[in-house]
Amino acid sequence: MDKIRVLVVDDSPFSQKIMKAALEASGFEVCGFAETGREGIERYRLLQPDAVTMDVTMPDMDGLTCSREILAKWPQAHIIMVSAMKDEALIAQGSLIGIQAFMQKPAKPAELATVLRQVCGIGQEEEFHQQYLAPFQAAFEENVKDLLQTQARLTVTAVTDGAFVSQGLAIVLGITGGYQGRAILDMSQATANALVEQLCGQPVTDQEDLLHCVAEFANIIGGHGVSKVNNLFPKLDLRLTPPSILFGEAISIVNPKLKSYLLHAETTLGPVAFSVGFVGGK
Amino acid sequence: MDANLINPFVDAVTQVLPQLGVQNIGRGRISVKEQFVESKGVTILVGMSKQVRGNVAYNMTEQAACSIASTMMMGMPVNEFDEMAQSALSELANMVTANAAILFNQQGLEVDISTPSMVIGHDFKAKVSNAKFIVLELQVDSQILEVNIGVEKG
Repeated sequence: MDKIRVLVVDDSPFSQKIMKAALEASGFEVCGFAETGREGIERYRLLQPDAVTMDVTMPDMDGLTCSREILAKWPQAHIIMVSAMKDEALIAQGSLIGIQAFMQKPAKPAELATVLRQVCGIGQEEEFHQQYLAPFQAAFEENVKDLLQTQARLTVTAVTDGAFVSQGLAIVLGITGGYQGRAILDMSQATANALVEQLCGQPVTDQEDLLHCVAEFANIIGGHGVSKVNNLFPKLDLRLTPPSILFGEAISIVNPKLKSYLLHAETTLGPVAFSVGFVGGK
Repeated sequence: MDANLINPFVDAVTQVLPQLGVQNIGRGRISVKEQFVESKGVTILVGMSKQVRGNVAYNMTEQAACSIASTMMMGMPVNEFDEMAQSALSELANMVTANAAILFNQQGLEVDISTPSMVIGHDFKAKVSNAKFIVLELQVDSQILEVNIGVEKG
């Protein structure tokens, strides 16, 4: 992963020096300094840093005003306030503006590093890997029950490696965004026939229509799952790619680097499997 | 299909493969197909989202996959399509598609890609697009690599 680039806005040369040493010791890159608020906004525009450390007292405007202007122009900016002052009023005002964290000088290097990584959304990886399963599981279970009007008994297995072995018909949905991943809905041709008959209310003999119908079913489950995960982690902006449909005998699907879960539903129409997994973050 | 959607893939292949040790890239036929990609044995799928949406399927025989993996590993013999070789080929598909995505970005089109899914088996078909797709056949050193491009502007 590339180094996190930090812009330091502080009018004191001594503070600048301390911040630079602290940040570089923790593996950050200080991409620039600004001594006034005006300069801070200009440097932000030019450098587009990953994060900003902001002092409160500066000659031309205070750190709150400077932050407000930066966030007005670049709403995705990550700003933390590092100042000699840290009181309730300052935190209340700053939070309203969109400043994400407040630290008092002298900031301890380790604490500064943790807070910076948090505001940049790094370190959430473990949290993400622990939490994405539940929304996808809910999406799978709800749709199997609602759309198929069938009871399902669900088992869940965590899969760290090894191939996914298809029952004959697999829909692969790519997942893009803050984490790259993929989902697979899989069943046998016989289950697909029964499933499509249930969904359409009549038997479907054309294989192409059948494939589209199963692909759409997969797309609905994947779409519901991704939306639920985006609600938990809005910054990830996960999206589905259009489905790829695989069919044939003896198909196995391998995703090196992927950590995934396998959900297996025993339904009255036959077994249906759903696998979802992600690789590390960007 | 819009030729502007194909050129980034052609350019990506010619930029990336030499970096992986490939000496000669010969461009074979470009054709338009409907329906299915008939797998040659190893098919790697990479999805694209945002302003260019669809799927790319890199298709080759297991023997070609072993040979290309060996090239990528500086000539180390690869006799079976094991985990190491699978990982190498996945990385190739990822790098070529990511490079094409960067070229799309330079045209002003925002594109994101998924992680590659490698499909291994005998006698299977893949449907990568509802519409027609382009088949780009490449001679990679002595092997055939078929790139099936089923994308459209989203």
